[in-house]
Amino acid sequence: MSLNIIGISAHYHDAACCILQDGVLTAAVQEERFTRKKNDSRLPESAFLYCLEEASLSITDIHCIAYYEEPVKKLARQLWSGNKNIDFATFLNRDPNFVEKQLRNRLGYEGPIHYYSHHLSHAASSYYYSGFTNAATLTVDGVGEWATTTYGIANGKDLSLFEEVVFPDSIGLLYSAITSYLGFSVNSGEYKVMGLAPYGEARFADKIREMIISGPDGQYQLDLRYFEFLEGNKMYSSLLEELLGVAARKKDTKILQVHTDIAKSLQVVLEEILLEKAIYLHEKTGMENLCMAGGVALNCVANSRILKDGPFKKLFVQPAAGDAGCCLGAAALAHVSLSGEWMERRLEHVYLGPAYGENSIRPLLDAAGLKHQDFTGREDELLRQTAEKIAEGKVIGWFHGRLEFGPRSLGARSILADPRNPEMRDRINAMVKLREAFRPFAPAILVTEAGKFFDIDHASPFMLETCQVIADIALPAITHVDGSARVQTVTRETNAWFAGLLQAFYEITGCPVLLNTSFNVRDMPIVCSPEDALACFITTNIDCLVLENFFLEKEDLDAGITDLISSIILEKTLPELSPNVYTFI
Amino acid sequence: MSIRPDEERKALATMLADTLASGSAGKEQVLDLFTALGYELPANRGTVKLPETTDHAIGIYTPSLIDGEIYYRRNESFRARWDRFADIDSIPPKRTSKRIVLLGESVARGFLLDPEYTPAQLLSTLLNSNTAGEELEVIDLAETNLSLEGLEKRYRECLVLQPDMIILFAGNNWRTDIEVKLQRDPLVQEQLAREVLGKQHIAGMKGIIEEVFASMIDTFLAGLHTQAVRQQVKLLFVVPEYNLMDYRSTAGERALTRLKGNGSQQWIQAMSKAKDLISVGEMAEAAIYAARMTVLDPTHPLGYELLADCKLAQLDLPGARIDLETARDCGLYFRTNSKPRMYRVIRDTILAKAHQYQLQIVDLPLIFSHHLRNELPGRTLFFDYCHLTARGLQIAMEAVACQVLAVLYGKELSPGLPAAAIHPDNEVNARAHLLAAIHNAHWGQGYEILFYHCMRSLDYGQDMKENMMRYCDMVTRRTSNMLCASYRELLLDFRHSRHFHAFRSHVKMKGFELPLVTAMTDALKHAGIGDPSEQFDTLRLEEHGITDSPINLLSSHYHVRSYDYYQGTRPAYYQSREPVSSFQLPVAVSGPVMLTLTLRVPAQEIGNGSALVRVNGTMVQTIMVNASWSDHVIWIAADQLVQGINELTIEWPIPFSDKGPELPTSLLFISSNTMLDKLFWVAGEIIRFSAIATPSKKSYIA
Repeated sequence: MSLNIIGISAHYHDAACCILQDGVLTAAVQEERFTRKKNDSRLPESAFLYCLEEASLSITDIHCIAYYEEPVKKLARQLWSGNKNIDFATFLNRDPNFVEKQLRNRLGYEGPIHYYSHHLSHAASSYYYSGFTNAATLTVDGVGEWATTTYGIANGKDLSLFEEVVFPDSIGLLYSAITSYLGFSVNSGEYKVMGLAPYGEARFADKIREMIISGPDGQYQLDLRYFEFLEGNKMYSSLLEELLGVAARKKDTKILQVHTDIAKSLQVVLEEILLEKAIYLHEKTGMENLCMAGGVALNCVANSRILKDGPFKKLFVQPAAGDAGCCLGAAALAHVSLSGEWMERRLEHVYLGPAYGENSIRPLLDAAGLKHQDFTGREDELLRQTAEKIAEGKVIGWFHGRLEFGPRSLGARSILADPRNPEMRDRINAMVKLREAFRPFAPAILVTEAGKFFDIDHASPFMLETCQVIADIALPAITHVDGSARVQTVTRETNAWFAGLLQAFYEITGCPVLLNTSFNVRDMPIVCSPEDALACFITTNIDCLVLENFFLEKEDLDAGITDLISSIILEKTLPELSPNVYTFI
Repeated sequence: MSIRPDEERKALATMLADTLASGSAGKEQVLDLFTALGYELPANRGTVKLPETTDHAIGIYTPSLIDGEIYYRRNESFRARWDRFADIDSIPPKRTSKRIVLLGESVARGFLLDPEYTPAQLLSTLLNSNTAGEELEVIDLAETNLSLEGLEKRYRECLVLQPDMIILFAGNNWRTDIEVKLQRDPLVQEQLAREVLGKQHIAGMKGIIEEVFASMIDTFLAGLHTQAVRQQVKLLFVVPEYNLMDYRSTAGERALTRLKGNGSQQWIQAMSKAKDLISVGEMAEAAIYAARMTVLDPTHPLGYELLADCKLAQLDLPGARIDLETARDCGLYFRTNSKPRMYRVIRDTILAKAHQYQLQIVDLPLIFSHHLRNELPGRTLFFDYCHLTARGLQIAMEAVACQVLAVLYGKELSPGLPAAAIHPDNEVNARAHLLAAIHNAHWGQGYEILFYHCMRSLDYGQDMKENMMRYCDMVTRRTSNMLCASYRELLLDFRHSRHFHAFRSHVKMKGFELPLVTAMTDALKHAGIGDPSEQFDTLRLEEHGITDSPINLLSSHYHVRSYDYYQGTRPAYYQSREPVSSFQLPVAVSGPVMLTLTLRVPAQEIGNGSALVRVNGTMVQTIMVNASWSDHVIWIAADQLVQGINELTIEWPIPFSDKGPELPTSLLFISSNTMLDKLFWVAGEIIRFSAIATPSKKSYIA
């Protein structure tokens, strides 16, 4: 009999659901992709139903739901914190059995529910998908129940955590506090700080070091004088402004050199402490392999430093290393527990979300009345034409196959462009993605060509490592200010169309690299459905849209019509999301 | 700066979390631990504090100095709310003429006729055309969606305009205020739980809510009065009426109540009998069963509505009025997001307090009753549940004008210009009736009233035919309305309409809207414009027809009939709170169809029951169901299907329970959701329901 396990992360940020069938991950998706609410934390209802449908299973076929944290322990920590936002009314809404009630009453699940601690779920989300037979695990994030950092060891199917740093001492919260101080949103703006760092000098590093004091073994402490997150009002205290001698940046104001210097200093200190703790972990476990997870593990610059300068020979970071990915870990833990077997299979790709075929796209294009080309049965021609458009300097919205799981677009829902064009980065940031000018873009390259263009000797399918650009040709649109790039290597086995497109572009230009960024605009989730993609295409300055076999080009469309659609879509938010507007209460 | 809490505190926090999780904690124990952690308990519950005006704004208007005088101008930063207000750029300083401010909600805006034709314009024209030498200024500050709390705020704001009189034409939206109070006030929730669940007295809920409601309204009126005396301003309250004849409860409002014993069985049997008897015109006997329904479940609107139908047929209009008002007031049981309406408790409280608070009253139920010579108000006066047609507004504003003149000048309205002579253009009426048809359809009203509004629309403007065609095209497609070319065409024609958003469907709730599409195509045919029904039947099959790829019948297209939704816990899957679920299967192929479904009957506490699956009225399968999910495959033979829409129904087993809704062990986490979930039955639930066309059962298995 097959063993089917649902994994769920929810109720903090980035809710997600996955399904493991006999230890094989067959579907995983974040709820935000369906609800179109960035970082949606609500119970992943749509994602759950999608996982069942994708697996062709009934809810009666599910043996267990694995939940990514322990709600009672989490509540204890929240009550302990003295958070000022807890009053009598909110307290009465903090039912510790709320999670089970939701799983029963909202998802309709009748079977057993297994709860796993947040950081154990993180560790499992990396180790059980790494393909390693043994490893040390390091998890670092803001906070789970009590733990903020854990150290673990895994051998075969056995995984255990042997040490933890507990709240309020947290590298993740340090990073989030500085993120907030620099005027970005906590839980979503951290990667902007990472992108800002290479522009700065680490002249505030000593000040940052005053905020975090390393302790024995895996321990460290925050100097709480500089923080206020315990009270729940804001992340940092006014003493931080005194320490750094700079007023906190207000959101959407100009980014100054001093801000980039603070970002750089934070990055340097983060790398120092992670490296120090990685060395400790290696000494303690003697392992050659390291598995990392937690939001901090999405810091690909630090990951590369740990691999390059640390004692571990191999590093695996699960691509959805943040809380969304915890559902994978919880499911894996349940699988091991119920089957007594472990999952040796390495996660080869993250194309685990919904796909949409011709019977979804053709009616959409007909209904919308938009001119398009149909390449059904002529896919090679489609790839060739798309590559030519990119070579001409066009920006492409690329929609093909199953949606990616995790924060990165990896050639299923991507915006693609020519990396050789020196103006392309600014153009896409300003006119397509509608976001900050400093934000870097990443390259995708055929795996067979990667070593010739980047200083990398292994596959990097998930865009989670940085390396130096060593190409003979200039690639200004994807090369960061420090000469690095966050590279994605592409194979035909995992994404034949994307590899085919890279090949076609290579044949036309001699460059097997494409700029690859997520198919979304600022503060919106990555597109999921053809409707999402069409809406994003029309409301931005994307030149062409590939919707599976269909090709649309903006200049072929009536500008009056696209302007009208654009105004309809951009005005939609209130009426569509709040029925009260139309219904007059 | 944060201070690191100590370990003792950690032990306390852990103990509290564990105690809460155990589910059997005493309230005192929990609160002791809560306070030991340094958290404060709430102070004594008082009335909700109404916001003070601090920003000098009056709604969307803010003061600006022009030539040394203060004008209130529409502020750009409130642009998103402009279309909820009158289409007026600025409010000038008060001059010599007397000034009247009109406050209120969408009814006072003239919903569907606004901004071309509004109550304020009508009143101003009436007053200034019928008073010799007196000039009166009417300032329109009515705002769509305004709640009681918002009305209080607007009232305080508008006093700076130095009105001589303030007219409040409101009350329809106030259920939202009581709803907020119920959701936020755990002590009221506990009181309700003890009364309704503890005593198993569901009907008792209404009494408690009405008591809280009356107290809120009294507080509001007292506040109005205090300010009015201080500012020496006269107050006139226009009490709205409800469309008793032509707006009936929606599917959501008919959710089954959890009756004790075999009460639900008896209620459903009585309902079937009453409906059957009404269908054959046996009204006297039907009334007995309808009355039985109201006795078995006094919280359910359908019994009263059927009883009213019987009384109407017997020309017992006063009796029908009482029943229809009681049906209307079942909205206070919060089954669903019921449309705005004037509840009896609101009217009664205002009328009872009018003298005490020196309120002048225009009581529209009374005014309309006189006008209709005791007939019940319906489609001639109303577009929908509460919004008035031009005729309704004319009658209402004429009564208001009489009162205004009497109060301000001691005069009577002279018969110079009758209200009936002040009417909207045909184009405005044509659009309003088209929008009324759509709005009524979105809220579950039947074909007959939809057809009426479509016909009225075409009577006023034959050019509405194109818009009906566009609407039918848009709603028949799978694509979200906003991406449809037909939506763009509608937008171009309605671009100046502030009610354009009525063309949008709610998120994940787009349905076929078959009654409306049929009403539109029938109206077009009736008006001699042609019969486009085949065009849309074909398009529907192309877009939604069952093919050799599985179709998810739980997608909204196949079952949504109304935009209202249950107010308690809404799960990720399909849930029926009616005894029969209905799905529409568009079938283009000529072979059999295979259905795969996973369903359960959570209310079936005594074991297995039978769910009856019918297609086009013919039984195709009986499914054994119980409180746990079970998987089933159903084959529908080709000869049981018709080309086009097929009606598939699932008749759920009638719920039975020895017990009524029970009081939970702990009331710590009682919420309005928990309450509603305990009060109303779930007839059946489906988490998977797909359909696929297949050449034959044999070939599929092969």
